[in-house]
Amino acid sequence: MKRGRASLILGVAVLLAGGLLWKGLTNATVYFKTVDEAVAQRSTLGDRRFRLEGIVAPGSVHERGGGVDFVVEQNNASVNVHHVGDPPELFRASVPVVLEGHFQGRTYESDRILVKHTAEYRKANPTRVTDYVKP
Amino acid sequence: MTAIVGHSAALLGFLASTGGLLFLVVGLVRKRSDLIRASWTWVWGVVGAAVLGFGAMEVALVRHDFSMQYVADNGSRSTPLLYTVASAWSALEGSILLWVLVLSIYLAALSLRHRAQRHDPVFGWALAVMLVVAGFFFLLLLGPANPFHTVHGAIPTDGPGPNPLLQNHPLMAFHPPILYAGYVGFTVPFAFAIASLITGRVDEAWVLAMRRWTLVAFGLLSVGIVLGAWWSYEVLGWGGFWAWDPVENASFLPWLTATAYLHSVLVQERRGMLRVWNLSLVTATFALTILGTFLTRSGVLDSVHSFTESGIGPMLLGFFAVIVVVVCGLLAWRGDALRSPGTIDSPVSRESAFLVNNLLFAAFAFVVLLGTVFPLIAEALNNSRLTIGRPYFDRMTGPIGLALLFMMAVAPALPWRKASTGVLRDRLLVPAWAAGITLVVLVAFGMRSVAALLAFSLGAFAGAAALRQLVLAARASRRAGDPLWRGVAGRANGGMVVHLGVVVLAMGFAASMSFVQRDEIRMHPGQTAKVGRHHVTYVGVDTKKYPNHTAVRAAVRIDNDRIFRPALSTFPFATQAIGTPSVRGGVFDDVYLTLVSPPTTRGGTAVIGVVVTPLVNWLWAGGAIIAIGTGLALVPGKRRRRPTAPASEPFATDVPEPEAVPV
Repeated sequence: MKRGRASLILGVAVLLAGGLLWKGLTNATVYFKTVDEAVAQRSTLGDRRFRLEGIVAPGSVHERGGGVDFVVEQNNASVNVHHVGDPPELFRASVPVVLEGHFQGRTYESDRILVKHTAEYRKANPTRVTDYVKP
Repeated sequence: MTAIVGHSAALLGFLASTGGLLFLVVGLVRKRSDLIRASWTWVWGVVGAAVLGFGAMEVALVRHDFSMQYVADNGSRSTPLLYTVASAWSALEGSILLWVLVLSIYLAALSLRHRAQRHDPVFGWALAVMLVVAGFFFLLLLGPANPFHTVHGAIPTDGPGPNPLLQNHPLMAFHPPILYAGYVGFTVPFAFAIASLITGRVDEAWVLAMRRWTLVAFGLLSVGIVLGAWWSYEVLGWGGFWAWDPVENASFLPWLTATAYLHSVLVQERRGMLRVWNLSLVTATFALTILGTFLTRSGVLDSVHSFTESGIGPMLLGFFAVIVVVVCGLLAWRGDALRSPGTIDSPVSRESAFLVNNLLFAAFAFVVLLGTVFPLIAEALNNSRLTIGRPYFDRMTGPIGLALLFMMAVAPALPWRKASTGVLRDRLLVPAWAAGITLVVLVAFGMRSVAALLAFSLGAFAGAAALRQLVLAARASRRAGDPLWRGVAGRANGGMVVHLGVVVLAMGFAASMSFVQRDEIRMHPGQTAKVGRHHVTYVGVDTKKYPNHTAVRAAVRIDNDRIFRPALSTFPFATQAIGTPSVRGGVFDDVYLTLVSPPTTRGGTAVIGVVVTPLVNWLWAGGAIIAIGTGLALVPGKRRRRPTAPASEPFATDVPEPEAVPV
């Protein structure tokens, strides 16, 4: 009897901990999509935050008050981006970038631009590019 | 030439480890002491080979022998000597070589220290396990991680030097070797755990023999982790020191299980309980060092599908699997002998406190491990690339950390077997007051974050508990006519010093997480901005040439006092400039400056990044205190009881002050 109750309590505790972990994991998950993947999955992504990787289309960059508009493209797909905030120093046409934000309708609302292979990008993704990890 | 020497050394090392292993195992099985004795010579061959191989690498690097591929990839004539020496571990192959060197140093130290027990089968089997590990790593050096390849075609006249990030701060010369010294050190207790299972002598003897080895590895790993955090703070330029990055997690995971072991092993020594658990923790610690090496060194983090490209990934993963299977098999085989003679008498006792502590550490390790490997699992199963952000780690580990602080205060106050409320009230009175006063003062000063309030008051609780023990011990030591420091030496009191260090470190962690202020400001020369309680004035820029790089430096005056120079450094062969932060450290807060973008015209505006973080220096101080505490724990303290006395011997019920009072 005592043993049964102990295992019941243990089971409930494990279930609770598992649920908590699962919730923590899914809440903190940031997906990483290339432009074509993002376009294909636009409806399922909804307004969820994710990272968008693509190349800044030449001639598409327009500065406006408090931000910049541009187009990112990859694998014959493109997305209009509405970015809030100053773009980083190395941001210009034709560079690969990783954006963080979400879809709003057909445009991608971004609040963070990481120019790939810069110190800034390395900071955010130390494992993806640092040679400390992979020479 | 050096390449040939190095390559031969690797081959010699592999042959010596397999040869020694053969002699040793046959000698142990057949009980032939002549064969066992012969194997010791082979062990010295392994040690010599490792020293020779690493020496060859350093000679090639220092003499700029660009006929060697590793030197051509990681060396450069313009790199200062310190970083040239350190570039031996700035890439995969070299770091495996460093691993081998450290392992062979442990092998030599173990052979010398346990000279007297060399005919003991437990020692013999432990040596055999060490040789298996050494052989495996020599095999990596011969195969997928060969650092001694020669260049194909024309020999270059110069090389690119190490990655700019790895030659931007002197800590690079110290952090990796110390971290490895800790990491690899856990091979020793692992080897003895396996040996005790093989020989069936699963009693407390091996545990006692391993106490100091585990402490040494623990201390070195702690220092290595803190130095790593310091390095990333000084170099990476985002103003933080810990990002729950897989590389950091890989070093932190074995620390968690090792710390759990250092506590639970006390229960086994005293009461003969938790044998299987302790063996599992020792194994987990070692297995996690292999898994961590696999995660950080195989390229699996770039993409699950790319790790098979360099044979090292599958080999490390295979080795990890073998360890897990062998240990599970051995535990099942020795299941009967592992049944413990003791039981827990009361839920309010030292042993059950250690049990709770262990569950917390295990949960901590599980949470970190899950967060680290989850992206890999998701990519392998679902082909979706994702990252697990900081919020997961912060939210999940925060409560566990707070619970650990609480246990850290309460557990040392609990007597073994059973506590009475009177004893507890007596021992926890001062710490409870310290916690209460801290809480009231912080609330009065306007702190409202519940998490931070909890962290600081629990920190005061744990810190005061540790201090109380140390003061009592020092007083008792003086009464006995011994010098004061004798009172804080020994395992229990050294452990209290480590607790103090952990509290200091945890306070630094909590404060810097909760109250960081950051800003990026575009400024004209002469302009002043205010961040937090500090004023920063942008003065101007200049360009300075260093032997290995060129830096554009901004002069920034902090609080109308000294000038600091954050810079953007351009290294030859590197396409992008890297930021070199400049930090004004302080007891209460750090002002961390980066040059985000230099002016484009003469006298133009520059963007300066400013991060004001409170109590960052407490992290490094905490690391130093942990190191001192570990050192004190290594010094023999005064004992009340012979460590070899039967573990579950009945105790007197009126247990005196735990550990602190030497008799």
